[in-house]
Amino acid sequence: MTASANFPYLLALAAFLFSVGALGVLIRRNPIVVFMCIELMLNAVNIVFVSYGRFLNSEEGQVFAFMVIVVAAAEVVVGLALITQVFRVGRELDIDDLDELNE
Amino acid sequence: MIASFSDIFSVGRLGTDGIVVILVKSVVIVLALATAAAYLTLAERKIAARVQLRIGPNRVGPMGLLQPAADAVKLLFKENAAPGGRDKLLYLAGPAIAGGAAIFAFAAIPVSGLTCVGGQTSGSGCAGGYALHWDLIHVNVSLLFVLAVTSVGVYSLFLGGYAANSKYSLLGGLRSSAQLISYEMAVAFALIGAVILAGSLDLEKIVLMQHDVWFVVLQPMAFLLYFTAALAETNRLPFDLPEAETELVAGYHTEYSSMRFGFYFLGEYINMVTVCSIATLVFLGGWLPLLPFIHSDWLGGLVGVGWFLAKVGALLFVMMWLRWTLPRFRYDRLMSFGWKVLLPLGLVNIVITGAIVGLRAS
Amino acid sequence: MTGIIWVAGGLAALSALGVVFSPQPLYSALSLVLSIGALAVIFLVLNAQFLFVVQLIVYAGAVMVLFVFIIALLSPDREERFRVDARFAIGVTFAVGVTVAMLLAARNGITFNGNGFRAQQIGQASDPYHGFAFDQSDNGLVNTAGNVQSVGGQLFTTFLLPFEITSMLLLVSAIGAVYLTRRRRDPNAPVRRERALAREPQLEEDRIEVEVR
Repeated sequence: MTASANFPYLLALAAFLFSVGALGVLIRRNPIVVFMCIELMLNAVNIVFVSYGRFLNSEEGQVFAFMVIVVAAAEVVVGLALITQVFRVGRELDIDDLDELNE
Repeated sequence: MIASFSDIFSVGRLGTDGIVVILVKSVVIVLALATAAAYLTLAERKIAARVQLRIGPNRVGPMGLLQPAADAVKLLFKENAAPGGRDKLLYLAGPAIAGGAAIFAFAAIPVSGLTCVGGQTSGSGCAGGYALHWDLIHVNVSLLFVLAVTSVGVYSLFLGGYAANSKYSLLGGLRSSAQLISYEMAVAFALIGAVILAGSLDLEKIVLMQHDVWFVVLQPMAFLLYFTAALAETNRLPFDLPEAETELVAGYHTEYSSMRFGFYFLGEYINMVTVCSIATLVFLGGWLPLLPFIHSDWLGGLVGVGWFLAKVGALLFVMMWLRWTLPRFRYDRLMSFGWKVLLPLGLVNIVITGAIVGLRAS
Repeated sequence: MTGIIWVAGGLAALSALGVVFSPQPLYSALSLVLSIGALAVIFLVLNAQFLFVVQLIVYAGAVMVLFVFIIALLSPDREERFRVDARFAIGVTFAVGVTVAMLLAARNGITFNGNGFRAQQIGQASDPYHGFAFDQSDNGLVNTAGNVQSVGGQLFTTFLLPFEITSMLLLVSAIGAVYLTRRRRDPNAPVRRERALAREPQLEEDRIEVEVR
């Protein structure tokens, strides 16, 4: 089997990782874990970018994957800072209970 | 199957070497590094003794040369004491990552130039002979590969500290992880100057670019910055805050004993070797001799290994010498030194180097 | 080499399940590290050496260490049970459905190949028009595509504006994080303040002493 035949399977892997990440976002309650599931989804997108870039003979897929990694890092920094603030206020870390702004 | 290795992916020597060569190289790397780590402990004790006007270990074997073997036996047969309330899986993962990452990082380090066994060197290839590469994995970003694998080693310190369920361990683990992450920046910034000059991230190419003049001459500040940051990366004095005995008992490996502790110890000494190897390859001309020497045959390759080892050994000696010369930093000073001194100096160095290279090119 | 893709892909998939289903947040984080490492290997095999290194240094070496730090400091040993409710059912159905659909599509060779989606027979994949044969020549774009040079070239020419915008984003988020986590001085806590004031001259003295030397 050649590597080219693996290409659709890589897309399947990306779909799997993305949907598992989405599942985690739905069912987990710890905001830190929810964040990690979002990271998982971003990683799934990166596989698609890189394997399509490889398939289309272009490095643009890699450039976009690079951008995704940078944006993910920025997002994590701010998100974790927010979570520590929530924790410092003395709240239980449960994402379903953080709904004050709803009222 | 093996024939199809190389055609699609230029991942590395994995493609061109046969499975036998890969196995032989792996075994040689592991054995050599373990032996080197063992004898570095002896060297450390001998040098410490000289600095303190003592004799040092001299009972086991001639001049104490078998001391490492005795130490290894002692480590193996000691009781495997482990704290209660530990996280069993992570407690074992810590030392495993420490040893594994350290050895794996060395796989991408070329200890000598391409050698043609029974053939003629033609350009970058080898005509009518076996091309012997002196590294196991070859990636075109091998310098970054080594940095990347070492950066994964952070987890060993953190897990060791966290899983042992002890406050000294946890504090030591947090300290050392923060220290390693901070100084990784300084290490990378120091290396970029040399990378700009070489125009490549491939360690082999970086060495070959130093054929005329070593980068330590062109980049003296980068070399000093790298060496300082590398001392911190390997937790050596004056930056050995993670295991500051007077404050933290022994830092992240307080609760480890026997061979589990041995793995941390091994990882630490192998990291020293790796860091000095990078310094040698990037700044001191790697395997290139001080005097011109033909190295296209077997002998040349071996002589290259000799030069490489001599340079690494000299750097290791400086590291041990510094340990008994400088006092330890305070933790807040350590962090501000990394972020406010090493990092800006590295940036200045990059800007100056980039400007000069850009002006000369235009 | 194709074997490596399968091993790494399987590892990534298994550890992704670990991220979602392990009750302890720390184990979730370490599973994610494993998953990220496996994906890095896939990047390497796909000739994206630069991304392989970025993935390891930035993701595994920095971002995930941050996660692990926060978990160790905020919620050690906190276990969590899942509620098996409508959301759980929807999520699992979605995940299983998408994965099975994609695997079936891959098995039957239905993919996008520049001419739209089309089904093709297994075994035709090496057909240069319909298939997905990668350029295997050493001089092709593919082999330079993983180089830092070519990716960096793209970043600094074609994609210069997005690149600069992301760098601004990083700066802004760093400042934001510092602002969010900074410790605010409580004016109603006189004891602490006195202690802080009492310490200041000491620090000053300390600094002068060092400078004199």
